[in-house]
Amino acid sequence: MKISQIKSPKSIFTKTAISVVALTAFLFLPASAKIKLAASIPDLASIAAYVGGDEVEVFSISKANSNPHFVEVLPSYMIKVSRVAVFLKAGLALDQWADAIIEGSRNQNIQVVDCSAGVDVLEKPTGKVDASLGDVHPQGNPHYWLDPANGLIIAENVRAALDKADPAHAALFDGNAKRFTEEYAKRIANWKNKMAPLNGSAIITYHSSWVYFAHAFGLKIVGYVEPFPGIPPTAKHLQELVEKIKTEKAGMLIQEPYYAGSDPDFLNRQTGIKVFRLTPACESTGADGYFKHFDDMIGALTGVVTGGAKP
Amino acid sequence: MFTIFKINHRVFSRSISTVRGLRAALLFSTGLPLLLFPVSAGVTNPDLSAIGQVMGGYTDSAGSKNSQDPTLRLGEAEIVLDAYLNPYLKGWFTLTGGEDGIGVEEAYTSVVKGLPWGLGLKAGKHRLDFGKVNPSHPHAYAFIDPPRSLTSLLPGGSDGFNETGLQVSDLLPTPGDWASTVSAEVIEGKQFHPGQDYTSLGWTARWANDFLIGDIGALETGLSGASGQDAGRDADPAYLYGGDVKAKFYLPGASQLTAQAEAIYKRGHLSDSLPTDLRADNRFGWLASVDYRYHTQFNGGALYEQWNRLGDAEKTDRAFRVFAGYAVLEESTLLRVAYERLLEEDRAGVNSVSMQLLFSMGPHKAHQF
Repeated sequence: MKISQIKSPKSIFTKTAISVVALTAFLFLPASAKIKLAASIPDLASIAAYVGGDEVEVFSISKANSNPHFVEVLPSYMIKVSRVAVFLKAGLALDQWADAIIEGSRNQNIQVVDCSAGVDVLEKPTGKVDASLGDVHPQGNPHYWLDPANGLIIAENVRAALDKADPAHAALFDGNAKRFTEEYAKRIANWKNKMAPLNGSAIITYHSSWVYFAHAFGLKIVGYVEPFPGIPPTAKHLQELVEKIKTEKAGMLIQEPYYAGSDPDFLNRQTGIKVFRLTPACESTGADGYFKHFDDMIGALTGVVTGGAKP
Repeated sequence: MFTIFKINHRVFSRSISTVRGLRAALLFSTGLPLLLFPVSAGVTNPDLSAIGQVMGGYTDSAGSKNSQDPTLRLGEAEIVLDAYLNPYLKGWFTLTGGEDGIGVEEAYTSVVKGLPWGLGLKAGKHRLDFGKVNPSHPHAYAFIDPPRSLTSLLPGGSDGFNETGLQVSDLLPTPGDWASTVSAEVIEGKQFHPGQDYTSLGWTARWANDFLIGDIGALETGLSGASGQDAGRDADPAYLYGGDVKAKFYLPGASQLTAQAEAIYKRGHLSDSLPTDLRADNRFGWLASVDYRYHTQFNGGALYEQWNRLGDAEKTDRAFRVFAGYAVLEESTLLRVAYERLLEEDRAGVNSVSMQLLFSMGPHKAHQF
């Protein structure tokens, strides 16, 4: 071997250093110029994916099968949020944990959007609100995305945020928001048509997640498995519920998957009420996730299961 | 009160000159006390929370004055106040009250936005960022009492490593779900030399890395270091080195499994009154625990720890605990029980049972679901 072929330690060090710097630069450089968004719940992320189209990258912090009231604030969420331009909050005190994530991200330029702005909020408490009422949200029931009409308001809030974040693509976002409205108009008639046989039906729900859904599709919530929001049932309350189910002839009980199934199963055994375990949030954060969630829920409730939700 | 502040704010924010003119006129007409008028008082009150605890216990330790007698007492109560001071700063106070009187456990302010490069600043008294267990408030411990290995090795003992400091931290620009935070803090250093009247600053530093394990869990790792004078101002400083790891797995039905471990090595000094060759306090300790939480309301787990004994580092003491908790209805009320078997080398084993009933009001809960 020629002496000139023997690499000096200095040369090896220089090449290694260049490689490390290049690799580091590759890792930290933005992969694309897409607008990055974070959302508290999958439904907001899905609507953002629809309105933003190919110009956005969006992720949801809570998942379809996790309780959106309680999300553990992890540094990994903070680092992800440190890179986004827009954070979509559900608001109405549902996702108070999001504030700690946003704060911890130290993101100076983040645009925080309260997607509940403009929503006609149901169950706004009157008088003194304290823990004697359970986990009542002082500004009203926060599960508003479960009325598809409120999806239009969320889409409008997202469109305005995207226009501000990326004015160059405002025309695309405006067009997609318009298409979202048209898609809603096409689907709502079909959904209402399918739900028509259940119009006025008495139902029980575990938590008060389904108030907007019931309002949109004419279901009548006559009782909750929880005696107060966020408070697990007592034996006495369950016994009272058995009587109520019988008197009100309630035929369906909707339960969120993150609550224990033993109490709904007890009610099923006592009264024959049919238990539906439905996620109040959509499974996919893709552009079709929000609409498909209603397809699945309505399919399950009307006996035509299309996947995802299971009775 | 809220309305009064709003009116004051509106009146006095019209213009500075109007305010000054009005205050001058009022001062001349009514006297000095109006100088105290709250020109720029905040318009909202801070979040206010209170946490109380009823503690019960039983031990067969011959060294305890309550040996083989069940005890019941009101444990340390906490009042927590926190709020934004302005758009860039937050403030936090934790006041404690118990059999030892009333104290300020924490009082600090932190910059939450406005600094470049992901920097953060924190100033004041707080539980220091050393390891995973120490920064948490004891009421959050599933195993009730602080681990013996930590109280033996860390300054502050059972009160926790908790000092006044000035901390700088940075959230590094890492890719993907990897969050990497480095922090360094100058501290008062008083807990390194309790009962001595000299002052000597110390420091702590930590590098924490956090990863998401897909949608099923999270992994946290950390390396910590600290230093301070424990044997006089002019002696060599004491050093603490720590490593920790915590894995959490999210299971169906809002259940969770958490496993964590922490190790600490201390290189310090014992009392100046000892002969030089007996002064070294070089000790090691570690702990490991698992905690399974079922459907948010129930949890149970175990903790094992061992550490070199203070004053006799050749000896290794060990303790094993099993614990269980039940959230009564929801997160504001929590009942915990723990059994501990303490095995000190060359001493008889000690059995202890602890009970804790935690109750909280306000946004800062006894524990988080």
